[in-house]
Amino acid sequence: MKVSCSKTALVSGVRTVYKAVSQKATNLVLSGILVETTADGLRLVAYDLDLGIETFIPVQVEREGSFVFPAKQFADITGNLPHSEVILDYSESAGSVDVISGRTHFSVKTMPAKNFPELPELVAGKTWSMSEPELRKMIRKTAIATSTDTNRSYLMGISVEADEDGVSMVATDSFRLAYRNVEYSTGLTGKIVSIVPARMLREVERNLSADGTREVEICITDRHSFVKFGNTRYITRLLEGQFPDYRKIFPENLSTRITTDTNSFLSAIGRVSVMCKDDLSAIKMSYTGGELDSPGFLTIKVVTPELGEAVEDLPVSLQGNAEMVVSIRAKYLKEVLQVLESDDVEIGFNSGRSPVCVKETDKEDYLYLVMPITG
Amino acid sequence: MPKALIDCDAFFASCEQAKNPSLKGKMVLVSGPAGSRSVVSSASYEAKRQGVKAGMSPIEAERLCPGAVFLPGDFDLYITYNKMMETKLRSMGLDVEVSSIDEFYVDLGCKYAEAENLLRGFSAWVESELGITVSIGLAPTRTLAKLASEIVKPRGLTVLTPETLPDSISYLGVGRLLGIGKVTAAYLRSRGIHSLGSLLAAPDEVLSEFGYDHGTIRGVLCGECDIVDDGADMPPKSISSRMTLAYDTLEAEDIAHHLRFLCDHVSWRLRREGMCAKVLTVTARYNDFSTSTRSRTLPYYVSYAQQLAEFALPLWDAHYKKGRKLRLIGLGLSGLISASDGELQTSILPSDRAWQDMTRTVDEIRKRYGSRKLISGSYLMIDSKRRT
Repeated sequence: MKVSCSKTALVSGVRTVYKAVSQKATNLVLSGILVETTADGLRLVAYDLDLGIETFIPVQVEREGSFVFPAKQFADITGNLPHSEVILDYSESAGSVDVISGRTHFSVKTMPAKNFPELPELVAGKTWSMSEPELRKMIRKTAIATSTDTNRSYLMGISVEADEDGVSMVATDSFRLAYRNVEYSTGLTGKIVSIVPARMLREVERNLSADGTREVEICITDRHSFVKFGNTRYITRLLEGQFPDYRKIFPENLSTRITTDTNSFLSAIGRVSVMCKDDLSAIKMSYTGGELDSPGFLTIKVVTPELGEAVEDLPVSLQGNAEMVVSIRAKYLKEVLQVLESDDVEIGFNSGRSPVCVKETDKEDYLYLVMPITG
Repeated sequence: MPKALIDCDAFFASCEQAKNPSLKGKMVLVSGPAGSRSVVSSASYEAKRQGVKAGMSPIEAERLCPGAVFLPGDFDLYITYNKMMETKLRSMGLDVEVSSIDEFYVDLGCKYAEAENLLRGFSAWVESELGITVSIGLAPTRTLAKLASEIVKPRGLTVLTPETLPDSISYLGVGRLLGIGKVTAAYLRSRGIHSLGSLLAAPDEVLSEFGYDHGTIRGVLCGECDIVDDGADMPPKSISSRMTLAYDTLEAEDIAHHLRFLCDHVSWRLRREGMCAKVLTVTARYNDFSTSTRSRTLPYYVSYAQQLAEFALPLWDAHYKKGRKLRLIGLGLSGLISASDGELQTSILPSDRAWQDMTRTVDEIRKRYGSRKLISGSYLMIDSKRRT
């Protein structure tokens, strides 16, 4: 195989698929990237048997062929090439590939393509499309609540629910829950409910643009989920397990609602968190009423016996019961405030044992619930 | 001010003999049935004279004491005797700490002669009123009181005064000092240090291997400093439990039942102490008596059995050498903090919260009616197999 292509395209292609390279493979070929000439361009594939990423880059083909390039060397070499044009010249008999760029020349041992596993085929799935910015937003706002606890592997995914009227995504790590819903005509018939690993969706989100114009195609089969946009396709196995019946948690009434400026709240939490032992330390919040027409304050406090304490009063407007005191982990508040888009945030409370509700003011399509700390 | 350690002699077996005088003078063993897989938790002095020790298997005990009376144990009875002794000590105006079911530390605010008289009076009361005996050590520190209580047994009262220390204990074996375990004692003996007297004369480089120095050892043996915590209210640093199985097994279902039972038992003790835990340890002892343990730091503090089981079962699966028969399963929790320290994050999920609500109710029942009034279903599964 011999091809020539632009360095930029090759670097971008390798970076796109790199996250699906197996980091601890017992099968050595999974630690490489499949390189293959096709009619659609040079095909690059990484697949660790859970997540597969495939992308195509434009090339000039002089001689067809395929091989597996050790991923780390591929990324290190392409990232450091001096010229804008690259030649990949693979010799099957030598089992090595020459990477040539200007007067720089690498000769790298490769693995045979026949040992690289095939990506799962897309069969009998339900497919719909979403705009690039909307899918990015949905993933960003829900993936923060996914779990990293392998004991409940089904919580390491985002539950995707889609029907003809729209799509919703929900994630929970059992201490908090993030839900986002978007209504539009999907063209689907019937309902889809599947748990898609957050690992793949985060990777998709990383490559989506907030102001992009591409349509993203999503397909879910019995066992796999496929996401395709541009020249890239992502494939992952669905997670097995029963996702919790989360709608029971949605609060019907909230006794206290506090509204404040999102950025000011995030900054204030950032400041008082300096006195936290770690991100999982609790921040205590209570309301102090203002005089007559002046607004009240949300008092945000961190006390760490071995370090000291920090207090900040944040101007807020309050509806309902002013007798509220609640403690929440700093990390859980920071992460949601970072993904909100509205200028103002609304925080709803009931008792100290009920979930605290965070949402964008005057919007009903996103809900973040978090359990307070007890004790 | 002198301190005393009151240790009940062969406590469980003595209580059984006191309750049932027909057992007096007989070899009494409190354990599972003869030939069973449990261990002897207490042996009367008649049985001890035949070589039986606590911790021995009933099979071995029966071999040493043919015809011995095996009893299953009556913890309500032992607790009653313990409470009666505590009440008596407090009625004597003494500052008492119940160290365990058969041990009391007493701080005496008087001179040694007066303290000795008080303790002799208590010892006589125990013998006449309860029908059991105690051994007592009186010394300047709890460490030495404990050591003294073991010098003469049963019915002993040994007094170590500051004037006689450290000479009065220098002849004792080095393993008699609290904090020197079997391995350390064997090592010290291999270095020619056999007695507490020779420990006192040991070079600093030997002592430093164990984190001690000459000054500390001298302080402890002269009764000037204590290595026993003076803290009845000290929170526990770890909570653990282990079960010797009624039969060797390699069945995953059996093992899971035992683990779930241990999760329930250990987490109940954890909550009763008002604590939560971050480190989980499982122990496997195989039928060849080889033992291995594995620990995991959990991603968050836990206090419920159901949470604990979610971590314990996979940890066990990763640790257990499949295909080897098991003799004992253990489960321990460490990295403990108070549940009110603001670290206990409760779950948002309805299924978890239902478990937590149920656990709170179970805890209330156990606090009111006793730990054994409500047991986990896993125990029934274990118990039904034990009976068949």
